[in-house]
Amino acid sequence: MSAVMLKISQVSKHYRRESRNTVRALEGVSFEISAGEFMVVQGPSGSGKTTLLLVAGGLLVPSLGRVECAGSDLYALTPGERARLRANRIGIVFQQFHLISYLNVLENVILPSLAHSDTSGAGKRARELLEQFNLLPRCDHYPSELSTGERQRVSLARALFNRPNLLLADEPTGNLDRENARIVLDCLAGFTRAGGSVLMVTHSREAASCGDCLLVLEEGKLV
Amino acid sequence: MNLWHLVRREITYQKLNFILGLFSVAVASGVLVAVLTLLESHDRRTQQVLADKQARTEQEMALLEDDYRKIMLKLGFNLLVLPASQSLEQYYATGCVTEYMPEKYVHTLAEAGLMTIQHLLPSIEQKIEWPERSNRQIFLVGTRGEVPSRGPAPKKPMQLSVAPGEIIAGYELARSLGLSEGDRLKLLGEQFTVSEVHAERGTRDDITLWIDLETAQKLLGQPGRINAILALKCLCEGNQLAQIRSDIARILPETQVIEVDSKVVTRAEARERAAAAAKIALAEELASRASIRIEMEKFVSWLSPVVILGATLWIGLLAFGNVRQRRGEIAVLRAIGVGSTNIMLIFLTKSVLLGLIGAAPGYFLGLAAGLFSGELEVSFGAAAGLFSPALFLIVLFISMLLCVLAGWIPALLASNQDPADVLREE
Repeated sequence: MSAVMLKISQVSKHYRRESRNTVRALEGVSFEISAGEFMVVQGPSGSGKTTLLLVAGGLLVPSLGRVECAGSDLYALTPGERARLRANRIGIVFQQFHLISYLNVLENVILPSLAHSDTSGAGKRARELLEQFNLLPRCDHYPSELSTGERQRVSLARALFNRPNLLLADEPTGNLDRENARIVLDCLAGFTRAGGSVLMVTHSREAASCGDCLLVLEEGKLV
Repeated sequence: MNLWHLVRREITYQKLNFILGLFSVAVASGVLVAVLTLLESHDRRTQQVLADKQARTEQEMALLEDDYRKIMLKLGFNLLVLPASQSLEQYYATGCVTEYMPEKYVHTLAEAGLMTIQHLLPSIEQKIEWPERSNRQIFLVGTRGEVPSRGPAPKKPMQLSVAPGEIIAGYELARSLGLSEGDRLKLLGEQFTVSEVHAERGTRDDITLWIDLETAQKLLGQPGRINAILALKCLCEGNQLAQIRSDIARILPETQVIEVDSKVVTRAEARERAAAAAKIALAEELASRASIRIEMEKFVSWLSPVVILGATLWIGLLAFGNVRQRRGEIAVLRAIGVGSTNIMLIFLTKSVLLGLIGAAPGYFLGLAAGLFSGELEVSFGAAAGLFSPALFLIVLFISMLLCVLAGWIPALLASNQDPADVLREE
């Protein structure tokens, strides 16, 4: 039996706003992802998909529940320890890519090395990834000079730079055409085949069909 | 990839933001350096002005003394006609004439009508012991006032005579004996009334008694004899003292002529007055420049803090704007595992660079501004003289410190920013 990479237990996230009703973004969500598993969480906009991903990535403290990543209780760790765990174990792909505009493609991919003191071999690793994503000829280009698909591939390469065990992907194909979406989904599938775990949130049925397991999230609850 | 690389690339990319920050730092440090340079150049100029004025005063005093010398050649001399047998060595040693000559000599001289002599005052004097006052040593002088000369009529005849029966006392004698005007006293058996007490002169006059000539001749047993003729205001043009001496020697061959201290004293007084005037002028100049410096300091005391505070606030606003602009970037850095300390360091490193790079040109611009608007002559030498390595380092350090302080809160905000807030906004 494969090791559990991510375990979400009874996680709830409530946003309390003054003079407004409490927003229950997540309500008692539980599931786990094993190594080599590609899990897709599908749901409409506002169903809590991004919140679930942020909670799973150690970026948003849940109101209730427990999140374990590679055996560590994420929110029992100090912020520094959580940041180190993210740097070593987790890669994140965003729908809006969040590439840094003043860094070129190569530098954007190398960016995660900032979290590590030993940066030897960083350039080689980045070039390998760029070659894998067919972006090596574009390594000196800036994000503004890339197509949308290329930007998402750079974002994916950056997420994979630190050889994470868990890849969190937030609508990674949301802004892509069918061809580029296929490239990204193939890459994620390849990552799981290599032993990694993927948690992808999407509202796209086509993207959802690529996962090993599909969860549906509606109004913060798994249905 | 390291923080330095990231900071450098961001600065290169966000040139305008960084240049605006540099401009603020350069202006603030420039203003600070300019006002300090202005004060320094004012101080140096003050030293120069005072040194110049001192040198000029010394030159002027030298010229003034020469002028006085020349003028006094025209003003005339005070001469003393003494018996030829009088030893000058003894006279200078004791201050007293011991030899006598006939009183008629003064008349002979007056009759001769020398154009160069205005007043003639015969006198007899002797150092005596005053038997009525415990044999106290005094100088007794008998005088009869001016003998009219056939020479040029003086504008105002001198009235230096003493009436018979009256006596004039020197300051020290009067003070020590408690004499005052109207007192009666006895001298060598004769009764006198004190008609006047002289003010202090600081000379032998202070222990002298003056009576009329005839009485003095009688008391001293020298009837019809005198031992000095004082010739006052002898008018000479150029160096004619020798001529006067020659004239008097021709008329009174049994006499000798010496110049008394009129010129020396007058010249010394003139020099002292000129020196005092120069001292006052220097003090006034110093006070005037000190007053200007105080005004400058007042101006600096509000301008510098305002400019520095304004620049600090401006840099703080720029830093805050930079943080706002880079919220997405900060969120990504947090998401990939960069710690909050490193994120804070990214912004503080930029602040340090801003302070160091902005302050260096600011210092030299301030130095140039201070030099051009200051009072020193603009030259490379003056600039080099005003350049202070210590101040340069201090300005660099202060600028860096202010930039770090200005960027501290924005950096803190950046490091504490919740990445989830930004990433959820997508």
